Order: sequence, then C-alpha cells, then structure tokens
Amino acid sequence: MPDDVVMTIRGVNKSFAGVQVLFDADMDIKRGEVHVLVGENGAGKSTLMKIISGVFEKDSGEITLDGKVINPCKIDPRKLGVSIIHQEFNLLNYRTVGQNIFLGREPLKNKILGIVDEAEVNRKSKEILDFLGMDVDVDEKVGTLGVAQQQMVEVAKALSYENTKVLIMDEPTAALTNREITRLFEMIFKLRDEGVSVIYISHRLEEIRQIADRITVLRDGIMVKTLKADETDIDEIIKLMVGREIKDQYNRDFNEPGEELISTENIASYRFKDININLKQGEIVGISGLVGAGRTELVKSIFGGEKVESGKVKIFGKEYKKTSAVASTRLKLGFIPEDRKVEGAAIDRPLRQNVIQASLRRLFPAGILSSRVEKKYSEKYVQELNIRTTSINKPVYLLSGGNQQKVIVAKWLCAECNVIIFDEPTRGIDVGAKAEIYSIMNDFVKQPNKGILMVSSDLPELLGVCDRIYVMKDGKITAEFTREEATQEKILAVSV
Amino acid sequence: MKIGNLKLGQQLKDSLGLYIAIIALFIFLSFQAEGFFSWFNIHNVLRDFSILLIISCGMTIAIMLGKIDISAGSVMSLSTIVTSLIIAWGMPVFVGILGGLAAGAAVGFINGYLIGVQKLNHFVATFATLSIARGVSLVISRGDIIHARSRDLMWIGTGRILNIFVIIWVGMIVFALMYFFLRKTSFGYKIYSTGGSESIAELSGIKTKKVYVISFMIVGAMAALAGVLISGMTNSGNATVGDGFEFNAIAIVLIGGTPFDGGRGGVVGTFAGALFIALLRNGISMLGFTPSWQFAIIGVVILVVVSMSVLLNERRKREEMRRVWQ
Repeated sequence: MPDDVVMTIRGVNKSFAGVQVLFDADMDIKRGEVHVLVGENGAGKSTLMKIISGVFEKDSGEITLDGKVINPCKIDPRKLGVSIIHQEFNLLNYRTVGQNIFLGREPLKNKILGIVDEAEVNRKSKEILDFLGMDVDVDEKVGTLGVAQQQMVEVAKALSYENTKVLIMDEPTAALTNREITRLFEMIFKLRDEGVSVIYISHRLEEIRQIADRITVLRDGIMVKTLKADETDIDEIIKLMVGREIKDQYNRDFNEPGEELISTENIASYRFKDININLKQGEIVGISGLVGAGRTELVKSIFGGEKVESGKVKIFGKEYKKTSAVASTRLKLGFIPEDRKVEGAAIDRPLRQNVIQASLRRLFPAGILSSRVEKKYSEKYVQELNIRTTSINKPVYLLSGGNQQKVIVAKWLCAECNVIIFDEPTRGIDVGAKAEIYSIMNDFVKQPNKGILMVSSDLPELLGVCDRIYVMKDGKITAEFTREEATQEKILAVSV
Repeated sequence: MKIGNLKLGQQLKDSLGLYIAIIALFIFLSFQAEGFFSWFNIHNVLRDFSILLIISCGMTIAIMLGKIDISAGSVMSLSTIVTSLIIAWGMPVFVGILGGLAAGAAVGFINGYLIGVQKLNHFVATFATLSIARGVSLVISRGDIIHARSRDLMWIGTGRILNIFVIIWVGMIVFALMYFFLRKTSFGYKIYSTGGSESIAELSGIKTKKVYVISFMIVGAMAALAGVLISGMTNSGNATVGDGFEFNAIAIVLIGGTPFDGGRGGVVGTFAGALFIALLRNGISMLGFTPSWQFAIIGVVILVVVSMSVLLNERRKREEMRRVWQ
C-alpha cells in the first residue's frame, strides 16, 4: 500500500529560553518513502528531529507511530523502530566497529555474569554491514576509519535495532565526497525498497532531486509546504525556503576597498592547502562552503588558534611568522568563534568583565583593575551596540544568543581591533538580532583601517553582507565571487 | 590491510618500550645493586608489585573513566584499621577482611555518587573523601597502631603457597579477574564507553550514573584489598600506612599507557607499569639511596614516559586527520 502512513506529527510546538523555534509542526511520513526536510539554518529542522528521537521534550503536540501515540522522551524510540543519525557522529573512536554498533546493548553469552558474546557482536555487525554493501573490518577501531566509513557505521548502528521503521538522517552528506554520497544514496534506496521510511534533512538542494519522494519545507519554525518531488523544481523550493525578501535586512554601505589588511600565500595545514586569500580595508569578505570543507580551521589558523604548516600569512603587509592567538590580539585581530559558549565568552562571568577581557593591558597598564574604568567601558558598549540587559553585572549566560554575540563583539571593539574574524556570526540568533549584528558589522568596516573576514553557512547572509565571497571545498578555495557576480546557485555549484 | 598493521604495530610499540625499560632496569640492578639478584629480594619485589598492582587495577578503572581517585591511599589505611580492629575484637579473620573491603567500597560509593550523580569535580570529590577517610582512621585508631594479633591475618601477609607469597597469588588472581571483567563483560564495555564519551554512552542507553557509582566502589574495594594485604604483612592497622600509594597508583596507570582522557587503555599496561615501579622502588633502596629519592625519581619517569606518549599520540592524531580529510 503506497499511501500507508507510518508516522504522524501533529501540532508540535517548541521554544528555547522564550524563543519559539517550532510552530504547530504537522507532518506525515509514509511507509517506504524518502521524505526530505529542507530549510535554512535555524529553520527548526534539527529541533523537530530531536523531538521525534527523544532528545528534546516537545512543549505541546502529538506524535504517532503506526497509529499509536508515542512519547519519545519516555520510551527509547529506537526500540519502537525510530532511529536517528545525528549530524555530529556519536561514535567512540577507541572502540571497534562492532562494539560501536552494539554500544550499550551487546548480546550476552552469559546473562548472570554479563559476559559479552563478542563473536555474536561481530557476526551481527558483519551481517548489517554486508546488507549495506560495506567492506569494513568489524574489528577495526572507529577512529582509524575515514569520515565516510564512520558515517556508514552510524547507519549500521541505527539499523541494528530490530525492525527499524523510520530512519532519520540529519545532514548525512555534510562530510562526504561525491562518490561516497552516491554510495549512501544507493543504500537509502535499498532501505526504502525494504519498506523503511527515511527522513532526510539537508540543505544541499541539488541532492534533493536525486533522492526525494516528497519534500517538506520549513521556514522560521513553520511548515511551509509539502511537495511531491516530481511536481516541483529547485527554484520553487528556494522560493519557499527563503520566503521573505532577503536583501532588506542587511543595509550594507559598500565602500571603496583600501589597502590589504590580511593576505595569505599558499598556506596549508592538515585540513586545507594552497590557500590564497586577502582582505582589504573597508571590506567584508565571506568564506562559503559546506560544513567540513575546512573553513573554520582556515580562519582559526589565520588567527593563530591552530597551526599553519606552510606558506605565508601577511598582516598589514608584514609577514606574520609564528601565528598565535596572543600575537594576533596584539596585532589587533579579533576572533569570534562559532561556539560562543565554549570559545567566545566567559559565560559565567558578568558582562562587564567580558567586555574588557581582551583589553586588560591597554586599559590597565599597571596590572591593577579599576572597577570605574570597567564600568565606563562596558556601559559605553551596552549603549553603542544596544545590548539588552538589565545590568552590566549580569552573567553572560543569562543573555539571549544575539546579546551574547554583541558582548563578544564589544570585547573586540574595546580591544580596538582592526580586523574581526567571525565564524558563523549569526548562528542561533533570532531574526531581529541578526539585523542588528549586520548593522554593527557595517558600521565597523565604515571606520578607517577596518575589515571583517567571515565564515558562514547561511548563503543569503553572505550574499547580503559581503563585498567578496570565497568558496571552499575539501580544504581548497574553488572560487572567488564579487558581490555583483555572486548568486546562491553559482556558490552552490562550486561547493559540492 | 595497511591500517590493521599500523594498529598492531602501534600497540606493540606502546608496551614494548616499557618492557625494554623493565628488562634494562632489571639487568642494570642485577649488576650494580648488591643483593638485588637473589630469590629472596626478587620474591619481595614481586610481593610489593602485587600490592601496587591491585590498587593500580582499581585506579585504572577511575582513569579509564577520565577521572582520578586521590582518596585511594587513605582508603587503604582505613581498611587496615577496620580490618585489624574487627580482628582485635575477636571476630574471625574473614569478617575483618570483609569489614575492610566494605569500608573501601563505602568510600568508593560516596566518590561515585558525588562524581556521577552530583556531578562534582572528581578531584574535589576524592580530595574531600581522602581527608574524611584519613580523619576517620585517625579517630578510630586514636592515632595509634592497632595490633590484630592474629596468626591467620599474618598468614595472608607472610604465608606462602607453593613457596610463593599468598599476596602474589592474590595479585595475579585479581589481575586476571580484572582483565576479564574489563574486556569481556558488558559492564566493562560500559566503562570504556562512558569514559570515551559520557554523552554518547547516555545516548546509547547506558546508565552512566550507575556506571560511575559501581566503578568507584570497585576502585575503593581494590584500595581496601591492598590495605588488607598490608595489614597482613604487619599484623596491624596504621592510619598512615597507605599515604602516597595513590600517587604510585596514578603513576603506574599513566606509565602503563592508560591516558587521562578516558575511554581506552586497560590493566595490561598497568601490569607492566606496576612491575616497573616496583623494580624502581626496590632498586632505589638497593642502590643505597634513601627512600626519599623515590618521589623525585618516579616524578621524572612519569614526565619522560607521559610526554613521550603525548608526543607520539599528537603525531598519530594529525596523521589520522590528514588521512581522513585529504
């Protein structure tokens, strides 16, 4: 029966810290279909899937499986036949393939003593891997496998539960090469033909046509539409995904670029090579590419957080020999990482301390802090950047994502940086605050001698904000576009 | 397969270095230290080794979980006191031994509860219980040595089976059981998984709180067992006899190749580590140094061995990344 519905989602709502990220989500999954879920970053795709798999509790709504209401937070949904493969791997590098597949529920030889039946673990694992057409030694440690093979181990792990009915894959191709993707797709078709429903999350639009039976588009937490794959095209999907006019929230005043602030000559590390990029005064330069292309590692290396193994980095025309974060801050470079909570801010500390954190030497040359100076600067930036907080004494973790980001920007402004490197400047920030961040970025580069280098996965953002965009793929720059040349389609074409 | 060879070669290389060091040290001491190369001395080294091995097997579990138990030494003292006291009251020896082990497991339970359930920092938690266990030992012993005056207890410490010290037999049995426990049982698998990544283990349905509590109970019981054997050697309990043993145990585990980041390693490396440290301790005194030199020398050894393994590991990691990404 082709129209047999295996899973329904009705009226699911979810908010985090007062920000609603899902609004009355409705979805039907048919038996043996590949259902693709698309949407921009932050549209709520992953949140919805995490609710189905029991990682997050929903605020309201109902999920049924085979007609029965289920609560994924109470009963492990994998036992009911719903498995998820998260975007980030959940594998133990020092355990073998077989041990990872049966992690936490190894078959036992002797129940009382709890002796694991290793032969059975390996036999069953081999069976699943063979079914998937995968040639991997079950005794191999997972850490020694390539990313693609690790991805396959994740699939095998998800399938090792008895009678999987629904398999959710969150961005499974993010780190795979084209050949590996083809292999993965063959496997997905095989599963589909066996009657397994696959929910496939992606923002690689060109894949969708190859694989989808149906497509659901999410935008800002709302289910926009479900389409049949053979009755639609990419243009329609993009239109539904983007919805709003993208240009207006950016307001960039483009300036005539000045002298070079940063340039690299053939720099390379274990994660990228032959990188030649530059940033000029007054510019915002973006680096686009898929997750795993090496973008974060590149900007981190320029800042000095990771090692540059060969090639030259020049800052303000001078060769910068040993990159290090300490030297970079002295050279007036600032870095705003993707993960604010771990690398960006001291989130347990009050706002006022975060603001002055990178300028201690400048503000307090004698090494003795002054609470008056601290107050003066933090109040100044709270006002200038419009940071919404009740007090400068509030710890940063109590602020919303957008305001946390502003505090980190304030830190580098206070340090009188000339170049700020942003990694995903607006990830996890709501739409209103995004526009404010963009205007802060715009104001920053309007001043003399300033520039911004940014990494982003959000294409409309790159197109709206940047003077130039570099595209990275598999550790190499594949293209450079000026603002006039760049389009989503052109960038995607060289990213994949 | 190329990768397979690399893995095996790496494993061999890791422990091979340590065994070469052990053999070199053994040969050096045989020539340089008078009285070293005799059955009497070597037998004593092996007894010392067995006690170190037992407490270090426990410590291996803590470190495989990415944690550390600095209370192990004072738990050892506590167990000598409890065991001797119970026996001094006229109870049978096995009751005394069970009492000592139970005291160790109880402290371990508190450690596991604080670390696994209350999510206290492991260093802070065991730092506190170190002090508590020491305090309790001093209070119940009133700072004195407690004489058990028991032939049976004495037999455990000094008796022999087939002309080999009972302690050595106990050490070998514990080692074999521990190896089997970690490598072959589902609970052992759970320790590796939880140590590898607590969040991944939880996502896979492992009750990590339970893993922590039970594991630390085993760590405590192992320290207590070492204490029972020590009280057998002296036929008494002493509130400070275990001091410094936690240091040796941590050193042994690290030298044996179980790294602090958790999720890997095991008691096989610990076996070699304990052998090395036992030889070194004996050698230091046989060469005529005061035992005070021990700490400094062992410290240097830890630095050398651990920095070498860190360097090798870093290099291997980069190579792996390069292979994965390019």
